[in-house]
Amino acid sequence: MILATIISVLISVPICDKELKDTLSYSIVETSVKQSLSLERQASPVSTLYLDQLEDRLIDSPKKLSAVIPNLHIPDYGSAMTSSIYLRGFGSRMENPVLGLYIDDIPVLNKNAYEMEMLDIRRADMLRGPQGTLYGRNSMCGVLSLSTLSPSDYKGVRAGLEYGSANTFSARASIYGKTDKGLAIGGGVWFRHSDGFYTNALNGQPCDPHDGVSMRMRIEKKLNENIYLENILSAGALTQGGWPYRQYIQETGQLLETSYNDICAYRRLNVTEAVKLRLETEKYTLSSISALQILADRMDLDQDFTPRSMFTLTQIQREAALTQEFVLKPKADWKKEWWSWQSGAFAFWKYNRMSAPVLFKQHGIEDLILGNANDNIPEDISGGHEEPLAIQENEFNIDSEFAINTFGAALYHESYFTLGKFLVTAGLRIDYEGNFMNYCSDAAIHYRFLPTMKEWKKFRTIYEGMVDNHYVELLPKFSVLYESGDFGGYGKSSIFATISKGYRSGGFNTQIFSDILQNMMMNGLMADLGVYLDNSSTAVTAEDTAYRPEKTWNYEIGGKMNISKDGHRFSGSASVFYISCRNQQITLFPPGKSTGRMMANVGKSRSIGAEAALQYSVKDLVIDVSYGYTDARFTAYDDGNHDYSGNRIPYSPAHTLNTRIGYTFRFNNNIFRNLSINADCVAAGRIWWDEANTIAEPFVAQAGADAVLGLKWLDIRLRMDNLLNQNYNVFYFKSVGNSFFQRGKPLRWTIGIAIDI
Amino acid sequence: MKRFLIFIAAVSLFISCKKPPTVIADGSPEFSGTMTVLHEGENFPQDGIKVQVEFSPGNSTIDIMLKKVKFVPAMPVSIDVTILQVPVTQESDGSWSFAGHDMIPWAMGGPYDTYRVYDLHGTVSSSTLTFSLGFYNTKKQENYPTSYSGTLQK
Repeated sequence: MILATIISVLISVPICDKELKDTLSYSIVETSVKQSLSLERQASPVSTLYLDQLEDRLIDSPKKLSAVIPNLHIPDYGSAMTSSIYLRGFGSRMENPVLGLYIDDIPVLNKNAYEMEMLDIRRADMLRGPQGTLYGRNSMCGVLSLSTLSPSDYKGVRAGLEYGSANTFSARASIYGKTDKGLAIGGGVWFRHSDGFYTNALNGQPCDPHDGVSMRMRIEKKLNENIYLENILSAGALTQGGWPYRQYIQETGQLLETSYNDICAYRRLNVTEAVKLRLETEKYTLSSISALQILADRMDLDQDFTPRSMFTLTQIQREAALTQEFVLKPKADWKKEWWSWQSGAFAFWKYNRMSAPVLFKQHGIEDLILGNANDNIPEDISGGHEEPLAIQENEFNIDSEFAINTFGAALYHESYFTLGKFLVTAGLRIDYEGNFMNYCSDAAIHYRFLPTMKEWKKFRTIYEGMVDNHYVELLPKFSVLYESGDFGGYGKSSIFATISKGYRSGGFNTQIFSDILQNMMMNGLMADLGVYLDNSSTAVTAEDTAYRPEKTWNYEIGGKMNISKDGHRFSGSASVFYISCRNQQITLFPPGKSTGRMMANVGKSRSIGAEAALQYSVKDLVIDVSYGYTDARFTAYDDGNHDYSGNRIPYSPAHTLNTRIGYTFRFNNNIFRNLSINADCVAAGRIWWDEANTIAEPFVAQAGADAVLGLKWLDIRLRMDNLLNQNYNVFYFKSVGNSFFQRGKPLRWTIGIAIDI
Repeated sequence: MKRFLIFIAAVSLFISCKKPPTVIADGSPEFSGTMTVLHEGENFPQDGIKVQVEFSPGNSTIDIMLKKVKFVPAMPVSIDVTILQVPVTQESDGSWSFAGHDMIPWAMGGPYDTYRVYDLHGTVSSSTLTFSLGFYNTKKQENYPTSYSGTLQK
């Protein structure tokens, strides 16, 4: 039956006409169920990229939108699971993002799945500023809404082959069509391989090889006059290396080669099955979006990132999530000329079973465990032994198992009042979220105190229990947009002011549990010996691992304009914003040679900034410029050890810049359609790497260029990134007292062909 | 009647002789008090020091466990030290006196001969524990005269 349907679609696929083709470069289809207003009428800045723009520029993953969208910074480091997102000065390296990602109105609940192949993305809309009222959790600084090609809107076959630097190869194919019975079906597959751009100097092997495959199938059918059904199934699997961190010797300024001795690898399988129903009556439209998201992944990490055998982490997650959303919008009978609205309800449940054993190896036991303990044992007690305390095992595990239930529910409403040239938007959302975490950490060793003990003694430490975390958030929004002019009928301009609130969810620090158990084990072992250190480390408990939501208020004013006359087209938007943030979630490293890291609500901050995006085109010349500036600083920062008030918030750039100029030569012959040549530059910086603001990355610009030769049946593409082979860093951190950088990727080229028939 | 009174008197005498030591010797009573170590001519008092006493099955010896003690103020750790098998003698008032000399205490899971115990003398009753001793550091060849006075913890 399925085969018959696919064959039927294949037979019915027509050579697409111009109107359908335009879907790829411009879209008249609504962006999202939740967008009641056209993006031009929204009182917040929006950046939109269409499929052609994404493909010409090889933007095939969300990370490549970094700096292309003002004040957005998604550094490409670590691995696919490292999707640290910074927007307007906020963000963090771990846990919940500040940017909500929606694919066809389905929220991606796990940040580990943010990095993906952007297969047949019809358009990417970046809504900047808090979108809490409509989107709720984790849309504190914005929402990236991706819409995939719909077989109802597009019919055809698309395929592409690419080859490039680091033996990177990708192949994709997709098909969209409609059967005679009105069933629209479309789907695609994408495969990618790369040898990787970084080498582990210790063994000469590549650090970051990558193999991945992803697919999507979308089925749509109008069931009757009123009900429209969509089913979207997407899945992805990848296996890769990564984490090519290089140790930085601060005293000499020397950056060592990437060199680690244990496996660093990431594997992921994720499946999303979504059903969308739309009921249209004369009075209203009711949309239902249901989704099941499954994610299974495994991360193996040499956590010291050095050639020494210190400690490794294996993190295995098995996660299932259900989301359900209803959106109600009025139609003619319920809608007034001056008043429209939308209301919605959202609920989700997520269950994550996580195993995160930390394996302490020989050097880790010596340095991190015995070293700390033996350093504190005075000579009188040690009986003259340099290392009086000994552990029999060459390596041992600290096992940590977690079962985390997260659930939430929300109700929201937004009203839109059109009062002459004013459009007033007022909305409110109430969000409830709860988290329960069951934890069990366990370790067993055999120890001896050499001056006094003849035999090894077994010592076991278990830490188990349950913690919970609940909160309710009210997320109001109020905005006014004034349509200030129409340029004599050649365009539109508007100015707007917005006040809105957003939040980023709280959660639990699972990664600190090995530290907790390590501390408990050493304190317990010493107590078992009858030795009590005066300066024993401050105990972090499970209760301390829960962190609260981070909240922001955003105040923004701006303007938009769009003029089109005599072949000249100009569109632009600019805004300035002030964001105040409370309960800021900061990643902390416990002092000393600790192995973990944890998120804590230790700060308040504010961000002042401006953004502008301009596009000018005349005939076949197109110029794009976008710029973002952010001055984001802590207004209060107290982690108990330091006061960083007034310092810049780290990891987020002060400036982002994107420029692109392109010209298309058009040919009128049967072989060549056109030749498009583009040059661009993306830049970001300065980026402070630590809260103390002692080390920073300067403003770095990377040049790129691409050319697309359009033949009758296919396009030939060439793309170059980091043309000047700039040396720059994308990440910095400290671990067990060492500093590390990751270098950005070098000069890259990609050549490929694309078919679109 | 006379025989009955003699019986009562005998029982009373028996009880009055046996009751105090029975209460102490039956359990492992814990005392809390002040331990004072004489170091470089100065007394170093430590309050709240807990000491547990455990009688052997035949009440012939006691183990004295000193919890979280320091020998000198500068010591960065405190330790548990147990003086094992100290001979005890019951006194007429029901208390127990104990004494020992040149003993190797037990600490950190084994015999701890860095600090030997000299001139141990003390008394334990149903309400108090007092003793004095000298901890002798065999490596530094220094003596740390120590005294303790504590009351029974309920």
